[in-house]
Amino acid sequence: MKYLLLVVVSLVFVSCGFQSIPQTKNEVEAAWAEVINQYQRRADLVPNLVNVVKGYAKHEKETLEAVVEARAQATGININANDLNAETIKKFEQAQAGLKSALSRLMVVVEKYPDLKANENFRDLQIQLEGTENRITIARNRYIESIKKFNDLVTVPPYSWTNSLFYHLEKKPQFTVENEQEVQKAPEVKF
Amino acid sequence: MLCKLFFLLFISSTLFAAKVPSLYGPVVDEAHMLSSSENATLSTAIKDFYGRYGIQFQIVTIPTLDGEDIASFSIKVADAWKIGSKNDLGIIITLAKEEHDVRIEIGKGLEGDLPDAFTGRVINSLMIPYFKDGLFYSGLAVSLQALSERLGKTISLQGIANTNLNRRNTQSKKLPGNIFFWIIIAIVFIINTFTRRRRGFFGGGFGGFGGSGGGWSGGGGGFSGGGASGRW
Repeated sequence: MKYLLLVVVSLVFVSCGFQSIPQTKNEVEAAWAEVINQYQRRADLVPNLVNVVKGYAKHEKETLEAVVEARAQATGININANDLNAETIKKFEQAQAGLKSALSRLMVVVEKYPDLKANENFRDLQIQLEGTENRITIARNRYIESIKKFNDLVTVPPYSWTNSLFYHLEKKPQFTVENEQEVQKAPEVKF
Repeated sequence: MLCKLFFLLFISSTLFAAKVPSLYGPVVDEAHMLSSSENATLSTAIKDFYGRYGIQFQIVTIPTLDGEDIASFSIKVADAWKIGSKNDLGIIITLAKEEHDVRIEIGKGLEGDLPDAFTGRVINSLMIPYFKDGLFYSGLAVSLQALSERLGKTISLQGIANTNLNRRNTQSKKLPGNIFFWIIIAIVFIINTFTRRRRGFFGGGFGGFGGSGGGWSGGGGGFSGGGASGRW
């Protein structure tokens, strides 16, 4: 009888995580796909934005070119959820931070042009830009949350035992925004 | 079940900040920015709209954001209350009284019909002019109308006909339909009170009020951060 009890208890322990470990792994992948999706959405706004600004601020060539260049860099890096490690995350985030920084500088420059600021199209684009930044923030937070859930299952007993026995999955690197702050130190815009 | 127990014991769970109020109706007016009749009118219209179209509006007002960004608070509310049916058809309007911040959060299923730019224009051209004059009910009513119209539907809110900016002088807080509404409420209340007595139940009579209108809860709707914010 005692052995039966031991077997039952062991089974219970081991079954913890049998379903939830692959489930959380799937959630991590889905959350990452959403992050990529929202970053792409921001990149897609750039051509329209550049066109509208060009119409009013022809002399801001440098700033506009910087935005176009930053966008090319950002859309040039593609990683899927399984290739994520500290190195690839850093590169990816730096490119995205570069785009965000270039857009911020553009918004500062735009302050000089009241006609542009009053333009309906521009206002709409500004709202859309704010919208994508918000969506990016939310997608990232949810991704970070999904990583935490996965890492918890893979490192904390009794789930970690299930992992050691069946899945042998590694803890995933957490997504950080430190790099963004580095890249964000933009040079001053001279008027 | 045992797994969940271990989970709770050993792994910390992330709890939303206590600031998200409890969801007790279509209008959660924590900051008391609406009169009870305005609240009731909006609630009825929203419930009716939800019943007819499966699109769930939600209004929430809070006294202060306490230093938090309204977008961050709004998504917390969205995640906690899950406004909107399973097809993610939810719209949450949040007002922060102290900071004068407003945000309209659009559910995933409505992002196509209500792009951020449109929502932003609703806030800037319709809501904010009313809000600046302290006319919160009117601002909310026209916005609900504008959003519904954009979705090709009508919400049954009387009193504010035009969603035009030239509305300042036509504003009136008293609505024509009000008196009938209150007569109906009174009848329902009386019926409820009598029903309770028959069952020998002497609990607070006001409990029946909420019961008669049916419960209110989120339908499981998801949000990804679409919408727009503004300040009045």
